[in-house]
Amino acid sequence: MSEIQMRKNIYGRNQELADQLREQLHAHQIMTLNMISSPGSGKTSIIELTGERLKDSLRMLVIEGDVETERDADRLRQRGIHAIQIQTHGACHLDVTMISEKLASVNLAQLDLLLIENVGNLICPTSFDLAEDFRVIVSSTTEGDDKPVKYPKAFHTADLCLINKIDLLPYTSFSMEEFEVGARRANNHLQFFRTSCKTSEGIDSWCDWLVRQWRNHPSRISQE
Amino acid sequence: MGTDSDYGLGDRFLGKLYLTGKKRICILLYGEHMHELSIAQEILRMISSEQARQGFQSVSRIKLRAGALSGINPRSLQFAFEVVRADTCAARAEIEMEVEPLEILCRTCGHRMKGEHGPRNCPQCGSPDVMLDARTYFEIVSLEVT
Repeated sequence: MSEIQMRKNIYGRNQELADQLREQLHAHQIMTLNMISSPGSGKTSIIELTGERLKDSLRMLVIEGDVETERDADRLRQRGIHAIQIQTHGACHLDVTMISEKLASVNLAQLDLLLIENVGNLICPTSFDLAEDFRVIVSSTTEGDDKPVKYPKAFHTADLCLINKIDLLPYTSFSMEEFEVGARRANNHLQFFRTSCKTSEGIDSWCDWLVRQWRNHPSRISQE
Repeated sequence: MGTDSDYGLGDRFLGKLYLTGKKRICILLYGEHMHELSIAQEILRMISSEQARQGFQSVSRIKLRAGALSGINPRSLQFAFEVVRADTCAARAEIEMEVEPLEILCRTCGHRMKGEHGPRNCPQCGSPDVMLDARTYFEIVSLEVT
């Protein structure tokens, strides 16, 4: 019997592949976002409005992750947004190999912005880097203001937080202060946007942020 | 009807195993596949490439270490590992997983508190600027082999 020291990162292989893909995407000056939330928080609705607003300024592709069905990709296509569906058939998260596989048939030279909508789940997707530049957590007012303290890793690993369905605030007991205190405790670099897909409130600010980030993206600046 | 455990066969995950009140068993095929299963498969893959390098016969213990926010539940990982380890050099291996405790750090005075449900303000200096101080890493530390 002997002991072999390994000290090896178990997320290492996904991380390596994610770093390789990120490099490839950056070579094409593509900015990538990984959107994580619980099911029903409004990710697809936000993407619908985003796609419509940005269609004249950025060439966008959406990769939709769901356990079953092509519904979300179809929803987006009906609005003229390019979308590819991944059906995980039971898996609770996307990993970077699924993204690379889908991108193999995409002409990256024709792309500026890649939005990945992860499987609706606040736990598993938080452990897998998908080669994104920004991780976005979407949390809606009807889910309650305790999500950041209940699912700290989802907020800890995010760069941006969209608080969605703010039009429903009068009908819920959601406390914006409670939510933001919890989220800042998990991650004090988190940037917040308050959005509603019914009234479109906040959607313009979020889209302006996307365009601004894309213009200032390090991969673009370094090649100009 | 409560979820009793997850059910798999070989490297194929099949679904959740439910036990009803009268102990009737019902397996929901293609239920939610927990991410610990992908992790257990990755651990096996890493062990088998280590075996190719070092040439040991079998593994009796796998020592793992995780940050407080690794996202890995030790019991789920144990279960997933038992599902995938059959017919490998780790078929009889025990998993030993050490998880760092979750800590809250006061950014004003540096005071540390254990656990995620700490007070809203720092008990030492009263500052509201407290944050989770936790890491997300997950690693294989060592293998006991023969």
